[in-house]
Amino acid sequence: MSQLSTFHVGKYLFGVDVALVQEVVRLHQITPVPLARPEIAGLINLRGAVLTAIDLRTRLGLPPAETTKERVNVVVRVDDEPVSLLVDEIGGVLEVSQVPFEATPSTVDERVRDLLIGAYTLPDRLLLALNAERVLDVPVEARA
Amino acid sequence: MEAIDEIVAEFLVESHENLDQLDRDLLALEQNPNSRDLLASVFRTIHTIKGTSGFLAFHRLEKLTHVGENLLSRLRDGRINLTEERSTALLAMVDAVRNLLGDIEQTGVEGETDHSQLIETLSSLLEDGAPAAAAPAAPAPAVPAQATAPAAESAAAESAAVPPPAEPAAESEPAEPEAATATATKTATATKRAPAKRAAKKATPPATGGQPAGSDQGSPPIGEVLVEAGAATQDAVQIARMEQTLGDQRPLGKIMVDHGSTTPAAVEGALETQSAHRSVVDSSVRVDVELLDSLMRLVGELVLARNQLVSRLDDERDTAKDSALARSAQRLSLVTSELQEQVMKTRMQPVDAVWSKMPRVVRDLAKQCGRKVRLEMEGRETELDRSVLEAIKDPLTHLVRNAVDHGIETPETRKATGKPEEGVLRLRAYHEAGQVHLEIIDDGAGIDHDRIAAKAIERGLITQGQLSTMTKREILHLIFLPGFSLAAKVTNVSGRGVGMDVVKTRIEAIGGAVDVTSKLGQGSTFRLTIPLTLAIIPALTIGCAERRYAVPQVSVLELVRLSGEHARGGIELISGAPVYRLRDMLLPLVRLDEQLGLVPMGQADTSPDDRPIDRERGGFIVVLHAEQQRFGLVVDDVLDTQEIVVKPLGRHLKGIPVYAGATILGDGSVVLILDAATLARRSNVLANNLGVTAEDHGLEVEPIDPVLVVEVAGDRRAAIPLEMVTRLEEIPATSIERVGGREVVQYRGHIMPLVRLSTLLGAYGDATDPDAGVQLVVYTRGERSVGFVVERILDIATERSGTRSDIDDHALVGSVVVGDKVVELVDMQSAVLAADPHFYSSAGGLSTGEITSKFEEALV
Amino acid sequence: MLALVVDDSRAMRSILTRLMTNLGFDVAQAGDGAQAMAVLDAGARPDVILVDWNMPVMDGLTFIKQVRAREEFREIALMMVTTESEQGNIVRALAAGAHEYVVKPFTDEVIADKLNLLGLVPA
Repeated sequence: MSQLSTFHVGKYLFGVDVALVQEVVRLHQITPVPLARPEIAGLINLRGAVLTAIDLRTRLGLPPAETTKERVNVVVRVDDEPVSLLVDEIGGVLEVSQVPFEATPSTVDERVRDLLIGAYTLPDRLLLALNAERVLDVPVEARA
Repeated sequence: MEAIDEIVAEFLVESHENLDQLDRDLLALEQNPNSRDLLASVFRTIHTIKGTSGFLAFHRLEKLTHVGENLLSRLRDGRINLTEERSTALLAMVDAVRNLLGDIEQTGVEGETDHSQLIETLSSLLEDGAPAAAAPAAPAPAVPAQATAPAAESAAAESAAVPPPAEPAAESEPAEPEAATATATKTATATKRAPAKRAAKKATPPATGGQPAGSDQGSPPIGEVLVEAGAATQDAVQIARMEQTLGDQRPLGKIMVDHGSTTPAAVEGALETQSAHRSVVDSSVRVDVELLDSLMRLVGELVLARNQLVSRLDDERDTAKDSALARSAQRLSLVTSELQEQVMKTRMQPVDAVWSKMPRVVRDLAKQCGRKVRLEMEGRETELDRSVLEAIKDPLTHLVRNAVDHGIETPETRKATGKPEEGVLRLRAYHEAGQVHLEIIDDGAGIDHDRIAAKAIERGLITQGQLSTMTKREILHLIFLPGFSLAAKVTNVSGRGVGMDVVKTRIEAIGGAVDVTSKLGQGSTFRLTIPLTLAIIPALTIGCAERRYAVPQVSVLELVRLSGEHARGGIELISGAPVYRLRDMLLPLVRLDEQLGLVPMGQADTSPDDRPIDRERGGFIVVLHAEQQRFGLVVDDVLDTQEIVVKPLGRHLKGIPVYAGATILGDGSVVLILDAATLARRSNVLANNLGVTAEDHGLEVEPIDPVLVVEVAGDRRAAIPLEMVTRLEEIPATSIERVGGREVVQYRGHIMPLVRLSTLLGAYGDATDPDAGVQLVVYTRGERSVGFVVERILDIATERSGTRSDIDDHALVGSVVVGDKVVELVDMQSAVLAADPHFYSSAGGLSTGEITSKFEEALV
Repeated sequence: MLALVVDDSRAMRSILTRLMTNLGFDVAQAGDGAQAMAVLDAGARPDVILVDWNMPVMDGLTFIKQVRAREEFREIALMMVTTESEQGNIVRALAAGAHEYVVKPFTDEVIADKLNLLGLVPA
């Protein structure tokens, strides 16, 4: 993994393997799904395909966003099903092959740590590499 | 004359229902022209409409259907075959009938439309080959040209409009093409009622009866076929052909028969050979399944785009009404619908595609196992999506093998038990409520509960303790557990790893369900319920809590608006379960907002005194039918009906059963599609106030007609068919009076006799508190009412678990298990008579027999 | 007097019920031969049964045969309701044990006459 697509959620900067990212879109409409787990933000219409959107904040156990700012869909494709990850703001694509890589530092929330591959120490901050498969592995059973 | 109006209304509703079925049947007939079942059903529909319209003085309708009926009766009796033009004419008749019904509906009278041409067309098709032959003399031709036109022109016109009725392929000389062109416009009226999709059907001529179309390049001329078959000489063919050249309009075969140079049977055979040839050569091509799938996806997108366009145009309706754009959109819309329908059809195959292999499977296996088995199949033409068909192939085969191997006994055993030596294995398929039902029914030994139980314990699947709490039904369903194989000895028939558990998993994998019922010594029935899984469906969009949802139209029976004084106050609560009284039926209700967890369960409508509040709020009840139950879904708004493209939900949402998928509406928003079957099960859960349902116990349940479950005394529960519940009342105990040894109460200006179900059933409850209210179930017929005194009203049950057991007690007809409790079935007839011995002698209502049979219907 | 109307069409049942009610009968209904048989099996003893010819599940002819095969139903009068297009069936119906037939559409008078012939004069 040498290139990461990066995005911001809460105070963290995350990245996923750029090869898994299908596209990044801003969409106004999201249809909530009653009875779904709280991690499921709802459904979006991506050029005629219906995609599940996962609220990355909830998934990571972070508090809901304070701003009402429109969030961004990072569409990732794992197991051949595109799924959208709702993030606060998109970052750039970073080349990380030269960046020192380490196991996730213990300062990171445990809930977040479980979903990481590890961390890249950028000069000014940590870039947390998400394990996309595990992020998408939201328990399937319904809430009610 | 209100009664007449009601009858007319009933007639219209019934006829519309029947016509929809008829459309489907006629189209199915084109695929399967010899299905006597289909023909009988089509005939019956037209026959009924005709018979009824006579009484109601709709003479145009009567006249039209009369001719159709004549044609259909000949088809049904096999005297003539269903040709393409006959089916076109019949479809045109159906359209005309529909228009007439529409006129009646709107204006109360039949319109002025002239059906004489259609009637003549239908009459002309009564005989094979008649029209052309009779053309010069009789008014038989389908389309009379103007009176001055020569007969030849008339005949030519006909062949231009519809394929010539009985001209063998490649034999007829085209008669004066100019004339044909000239008169083609006149004849348009005869066929214009047949919409394009039917015209498109012409690409697939029916397999038999094939009277020919000029374009038939692939089939050999009939003369050749006859000669080849040795049924005629080359000379005879030459002579006949010459006569045709000289202007004889008769089909070649007919000429030859008339000459005595061949036999009608030979001609028939030759026509069959021709059409068989044609069906192979011309009328089918092999298409890669992937291509079909991709076509399907594209059509889906097209439908979506069409919807978006139409919805845009609707927004600007005023300005765009007359614009060319609007007209183009209209056309696009029509074409899209047609295209969609056709593409869908390419994916549908009759269940026979799988069934057709069964006779061989059964025959071979029966021989191997020393059984005598007769295989009967019913509903072979029932169509399923090809993917579904593929998925059910193995499970179905397994069930059939199982029935032969383990179900049907050896001839010796059968004989010894007084059965015919030959066992019967019946396969049934039918569509109901958007699902396909497949049944495998044998009249064999049935499944022995004790053996299953013993086996399951032996295999360590259950414990003795578990067994003691299991119902018979639960025990029966143990056969679906992995690791359960009933074969006492492992034969090479079964015992190959494909067990009942695999059947169950496979069927459930495609969203279906498996059920089994069995009666020891009498046989078993396996029932598969399978979704149609059609990707584009008509759906009703509804509003609930500011959001839109779609409900598949196939489950929707009707819409009831809750407004004004009929607002939600019209919803009654029976022990906390909401019901709505719809035309004297109690309809269990499900609130969508509750089901979706948008408001807390059970609190939305109730105040502490158990009365509905929120009376002012309007809304709708969408009356749904699913899982063999009828129930009402309470929603805020009903928005629209439209075709939607079903998109599957991603893996994260697959586990929520209340959604069948999602779709994208014209405005681009994503809308969830509700699963009616799941809501139906929820309605039952709701109606079941016991709080514990059979399903919670993991039992499979069997639907029954709704019954009111009441507590009679102490723990005893009884069921009363909902149809016999006119009202539920609570009266003060002090209002009960005694008249000559009977208890009565003043009720709506009459003296109503009472009967205590506890006394009737020989149960003795605690002495009633004189201050407490008395619960009454009132049954009214005509002027008479009786009241059944019960201790408590519990709930409405629409399904039972376990089997019904018959009890022949003086006041009971049997018992069933509802939820996890035994409920006794009251002999309503004796209950009514116990209260009022003269009830039936004066009330002009049901006969006593009919009351009993209601229970039979409900519980069989 | 009780009449049993057996017809698969709801509208037709309504029409016949109205007709028979006007003639003073109490009317019970069944949707096909099998249902009608169940009504009889359950103990109902109508004075007359009006039975349609063409019905699903069990047609009118089969129903008539089955009723006639049972001693306990011998008092019940059977009237076949048919149409002119089915006139050929009248003979079969009568041979199977129907007492009378009426051809749709018919009027109150026609059926009253037929009932009179059967000795059924409702109050």
